[in-house]
Amino acid sequence: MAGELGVLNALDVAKTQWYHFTAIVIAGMGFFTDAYDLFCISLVTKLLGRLYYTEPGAPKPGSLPPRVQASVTGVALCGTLAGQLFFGWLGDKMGRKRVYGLTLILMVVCSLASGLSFGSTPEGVMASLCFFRFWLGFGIGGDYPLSATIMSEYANKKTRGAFIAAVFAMQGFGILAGGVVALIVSYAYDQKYKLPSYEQNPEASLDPAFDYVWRIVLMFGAVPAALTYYWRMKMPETARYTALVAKNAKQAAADMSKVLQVELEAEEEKVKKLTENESNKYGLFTKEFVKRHGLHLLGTTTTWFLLDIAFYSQNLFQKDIFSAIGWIPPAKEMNAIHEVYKIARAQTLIALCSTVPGYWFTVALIDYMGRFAIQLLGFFFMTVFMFALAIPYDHWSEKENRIGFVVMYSFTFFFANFGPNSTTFVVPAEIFPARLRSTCHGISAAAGKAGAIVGAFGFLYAAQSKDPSKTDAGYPTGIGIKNSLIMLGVINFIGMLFTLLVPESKGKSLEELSGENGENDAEHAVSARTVPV
Amino acid sequence: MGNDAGSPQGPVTCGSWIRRPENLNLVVLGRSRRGNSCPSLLEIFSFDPKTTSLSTCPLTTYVLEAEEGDPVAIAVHPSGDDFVCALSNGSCKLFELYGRETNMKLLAKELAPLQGIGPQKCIAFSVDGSKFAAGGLDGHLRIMEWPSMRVILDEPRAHKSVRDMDFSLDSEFLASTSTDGSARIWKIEDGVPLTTLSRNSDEKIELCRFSMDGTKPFLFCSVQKGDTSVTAVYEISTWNKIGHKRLIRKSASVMSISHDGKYLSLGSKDGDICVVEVKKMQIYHYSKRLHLGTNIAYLEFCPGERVLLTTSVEWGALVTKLTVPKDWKEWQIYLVLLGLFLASAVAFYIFFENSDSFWNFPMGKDQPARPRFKPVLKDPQSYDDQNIWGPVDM
Repeated sequence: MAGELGVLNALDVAKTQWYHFTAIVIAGMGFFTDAYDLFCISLVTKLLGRLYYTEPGAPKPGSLPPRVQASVTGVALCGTLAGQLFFGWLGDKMGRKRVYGLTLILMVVCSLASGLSFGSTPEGVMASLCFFRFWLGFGIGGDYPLSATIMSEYANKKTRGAFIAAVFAMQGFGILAGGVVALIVSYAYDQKYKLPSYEQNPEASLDPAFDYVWRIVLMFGAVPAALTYYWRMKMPETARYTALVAKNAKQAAADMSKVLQVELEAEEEKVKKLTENESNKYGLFTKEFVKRHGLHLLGTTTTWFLLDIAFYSQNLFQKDIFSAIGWIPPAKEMNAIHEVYKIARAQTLIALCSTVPGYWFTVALIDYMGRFAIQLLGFFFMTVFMFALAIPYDHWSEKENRIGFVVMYSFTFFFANFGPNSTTFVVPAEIFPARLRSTCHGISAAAGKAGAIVGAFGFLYAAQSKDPSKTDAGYPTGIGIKNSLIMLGVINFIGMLFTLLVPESKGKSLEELSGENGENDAEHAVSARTVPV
Repeated sequence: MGNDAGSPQGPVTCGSWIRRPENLNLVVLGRSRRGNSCPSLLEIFSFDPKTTSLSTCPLTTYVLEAEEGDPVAIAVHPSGDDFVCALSNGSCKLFELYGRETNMKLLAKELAPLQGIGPQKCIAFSVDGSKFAAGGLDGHLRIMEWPSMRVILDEPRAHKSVRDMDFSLDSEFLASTSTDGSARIWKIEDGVPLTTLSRNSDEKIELCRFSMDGTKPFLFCSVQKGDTSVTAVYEISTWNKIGHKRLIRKSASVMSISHDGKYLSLGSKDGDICVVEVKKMQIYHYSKRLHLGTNIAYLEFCPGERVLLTTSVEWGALVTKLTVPKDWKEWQIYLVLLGLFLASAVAFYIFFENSDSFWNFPMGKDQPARPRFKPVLKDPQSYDDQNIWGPVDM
């Protein structure tokens, strides 16, 4: 560590202190809110289908048509992508703290507005719901990179991975909270209105009051956003040279030297200076970058893209899989509110037993096992369990084997979060040179969101049965659950292969990782420092 | 407030902005004695951002005793509740500001560790208000914790004579310059010298200010090279000079950084001022002879406005509005966002009106928003799942 700057050394070895944990909670509340808002929609889409799309006399309860289902579910993801671009530009214009306020206010307002989706016709309700879900996603897109930035500003080198992963792990609690809220609301309504199942009496299985259930679940998303806003505003402005903390001092100095007259150097030193400057000045679209970091960027973007296809597919469409294997009874055997209750219970159990533990296993082990091993292991086991579910799918479909199915399915979530879902977030923030780090992380995150959109829209159609009589109303035939799971397994396997492109960053300083340290040694030798008096 | 030549009051020797709650900004001015009829004063004025002027009458005045001498330097605590004034008799006094604007008073207090320490050229608070530093004409440098006044550094021979000094944004370093042209960096936490800034033999480092922008870890110095005054930039991770640029035409007498770190300002010995954008080191405002032919003694950016306060012995205190590009205001951002919101609302509505087939409702367009099923009388026995909390159905 010969070239390590004294100041950076001091920051990196700073011991874990109480404010680290405070910063984790405050930054993590952003991810908590993001996860709640993005995933709670999947708990209520069945209810929306019953409320607005039930045909009198049909043997099956109503369900959302494919285009509406895709819109309601995926429009927030499109908003997230747009929000990331807009607030990324805005963050450069204004201070960071002001942008916090903007994104969180937007999230509070649009959560409430989602629940109040108005209109005198069903079309109006669904259209305004999509509209406000888009803008909710917009706010989430702004909050996402800002939450990551807070933590990186406070983290030290030894436990940097754990802190960043802990912030990200708050997502698991957000998903859990969504399930719990839906459970409480649906249970309360279920007890109050003891209605017959659809099979027994189609008309009586639905009550107009159930319209409130999905609105309450969506509007509750405003609560964590408001809490986050309160805590963020109370957080003192960090009077720090963030360029030093974020290891961007060299970039800052380079930018400043462009607008100043630089002292003339001796001829020999001048040549060295030019050489060093040249080797450090490559931009994003240069051969030097491709040679040094091209494979790294390819690795981080593809792994994040592939991971999110699988992750968002599974999260948004768990209930369809559970119905297919019989863990959730057929819709006609339940009344409207009981269906919400069953779905929420199933998703909450999955989140509680596999998603959340997976996150925190990563927090505990990421700085011991390293990012590479966790990501490789995660993709590997996701692949194994996915194929183990898909290939003998007919066996799992039988009623007596469904507990086994759920256990195996839970493991795919566990290893997603004790695996690539966490590491794809941590690694891009570490392996690229300072002046390109935020750009490359942004590219990787955008690729992840693109994967999420593919997963949200693609799986919806693919998972439909090959038999036209078994498909939901309005859907074309798909390839079935079995083949969809096989496809996701293949995607995970490809993700495992691309993991080999990403270097290990455990315990290394950011400058060591990006190769800047080598130049540091040279520069250190060249610079003629004055001896302190 | 303009030219006070010929007025019965003494000349302005020092001044400072005071940031008060609710975006209120005050100005404190120190006046020295003139003859026997005009005593030394400290005056508090209010600042009106609409007219860019100070109030015609002071909100309150404090008269200094004859043996206390004249005010030499003022440092305002970031909280805006009190300030320290260095006096020519060799002591420093603490002044507390209390009451509202219509009923403001100054209460003086002695600071025991700062009694009889000799005339102080510079006094300053750190950005977070937890440290206080005093640099004397005799070259004695002191750094203390505030308000406990515990001594961190007490260096009698820091310099030949202290010329200027400044705290870094994170309160980690103190930079100080000497009348002999040298400059030193002090590590505040340890109270030890860290390094001396490198310079050529013909260069004299006169003024220093740390950057206030967290993304730009630099120290700006005004350097006299022969007859030319240039502004040099040092990076604070290695304390190497990055480069220099000539900004002000005459010799610089005073330097200041805006509170958000965007602008750097220099005042000259001929009364010129210039304001530079830090990102591009480009001059955005130049006022020639603002204080005609007189050394500018003090210069500071207003905390919340693009306004400069300057003082000189000859021309007193002037407030100058700067001709720099407007910053994005918060309401403008909200307006852009609202515009995007409304535009997408229109787009959604147009789509909604022209896309009946998309929503594919089974009962046609005129169906009411909420279903109106007629519930059959409830029959508890027909409900087949009474045991909600029975075994988990897995």
